[in-house]
Amino acid sequence: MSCDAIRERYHDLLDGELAAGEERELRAHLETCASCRESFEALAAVVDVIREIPAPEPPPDLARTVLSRLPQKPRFGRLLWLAPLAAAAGLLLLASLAPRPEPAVRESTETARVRSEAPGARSPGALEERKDHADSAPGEPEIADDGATEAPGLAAPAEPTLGAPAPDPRPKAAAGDASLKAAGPGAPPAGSAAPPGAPRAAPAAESERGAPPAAKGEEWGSPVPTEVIRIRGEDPDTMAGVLLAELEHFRSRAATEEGKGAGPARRGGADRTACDEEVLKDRRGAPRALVLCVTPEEFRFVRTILDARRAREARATGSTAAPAPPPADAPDGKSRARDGGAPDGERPPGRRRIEIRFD
Amino acid sequence: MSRETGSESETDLIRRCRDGDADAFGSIVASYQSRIFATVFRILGSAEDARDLAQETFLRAWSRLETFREGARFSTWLYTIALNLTRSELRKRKVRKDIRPVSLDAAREADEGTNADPPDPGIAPEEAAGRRELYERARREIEALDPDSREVVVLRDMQELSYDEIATVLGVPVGTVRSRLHRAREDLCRRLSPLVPGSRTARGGEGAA
Repeated sequence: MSCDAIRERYHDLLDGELAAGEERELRAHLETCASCRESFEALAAVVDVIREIPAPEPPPDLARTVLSRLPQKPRFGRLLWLAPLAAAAGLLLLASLAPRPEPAVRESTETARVRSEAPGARSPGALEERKDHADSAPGEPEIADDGATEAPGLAAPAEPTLGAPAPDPRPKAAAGDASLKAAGPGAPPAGSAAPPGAPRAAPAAESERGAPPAAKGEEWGSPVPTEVIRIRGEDPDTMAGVLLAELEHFRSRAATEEGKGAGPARRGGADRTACDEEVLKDRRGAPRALVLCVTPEEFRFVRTILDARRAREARATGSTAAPAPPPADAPDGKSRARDGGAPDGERPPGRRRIEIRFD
Repeated sequence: MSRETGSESETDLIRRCRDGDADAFGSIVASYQSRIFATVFRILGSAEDARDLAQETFLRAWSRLETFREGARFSTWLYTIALNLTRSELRKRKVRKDIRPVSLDAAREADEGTNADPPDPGIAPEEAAGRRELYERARREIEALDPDSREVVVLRDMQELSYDEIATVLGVPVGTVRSRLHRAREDLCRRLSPLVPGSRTARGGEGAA
């Protein structure tokens, strides 16, 4: 048996893939041939090291993050559940509503808590509960009236829609209706923690209230200026997932700091977004853009993530900064307003609609 | 845990997942997250990327459950999804073969010096610290392999998949898996064996290779 031929078999020997007879023969040769033995032992020692390299620990929140991003039903594919985002965002919005009269805020908060404590009540029954609540709460009619005078999409549509999974912002005329709204054609079904009845609550509410859904981009009856950020060279699935997960964490932390409690609030589905948040997909279901409604802090946070990725990509490819056009980051961001540019007053104070587009 | 109670229980879990049972999927994620994360991390060399892609692996598995053939091996299917994702990521990075990939664990890298440094004969192999150094060096050498070689080393010698499973996951014949693995091991042996104690080719040992 030639030494060169033997070398080929070392690996099989290491893997235990040799038949008994072959193995005996090979080992016999190694006993007698010093150079083969040396080569084999060197290989064996290295493979041992490889096999012993300690395994990295997965991040402790991996499972939790995955579960929080699950859509309710597998067949909805890559739709990402935005209700927890919306709930946390909503409470954040609620907490940041300075001009709101105190009683109204409390009422709404209680409404949110009531809803969050009764996850099983996401049904027309819950709707009744909220309707009663709204009727009896002295603050609510006030809010509806205020809706006419305040910036559209502020609290007026938001307050009455507490507890809804991602409702559309209501046009002014419908501000008085406390309504659950699906967020549009891409309505995300309720997520992992929600009972199966939850996604049906939205359409049920819709028919109950009788208000037509707002068309995308036409919230409050007028075009909403949107800031567009373009991302190139990243996998849309991964980026969309990363951004949404990061934003959700950011909002949960913020909501927790506000003392509202992130956990039950998220599951309660209180939605306070003043505009649609959704993933826009192409025909094949691949994400093409992310529509978000962010506070300035959230916007800066998103920008940090994007910049970090861009920098890392540049390092990895050894190139200078990727040719992504720098988006404006002024809080009053006027660059690339998608529609005409309505006056600032028409946007919900503190929140801005941004669109992150994947090229 | 599905893994410990056997494949029957995993089959039930999968059926429940198909029906939209997120708790069942939670069990599956818990059962596989270490393996999937380790695989992705070992191929990409970045904890951040590994976290993203590991999450993505499970999310895709959830959303594509209908395509999973009941009776097939779920672990193989998961690994396939993970490897598709790592391949996309590596293609995006467009790292040339002769350039060491940049790891995000930059601080650790900086501490240990560049890959071009010769092995440090001052480190006594018997010390545990020496062993850790060795693992680090080996890890970096694996990261420096071309992607095809890296995949087979990670899947076979680190994740301990069978040749058949690896062939399925990578979409290549078993013979290709073998030859890639053997070449990769030889390559690593040339780079690492001077550092490895117990091998006569180690420095201070009895004879050079």
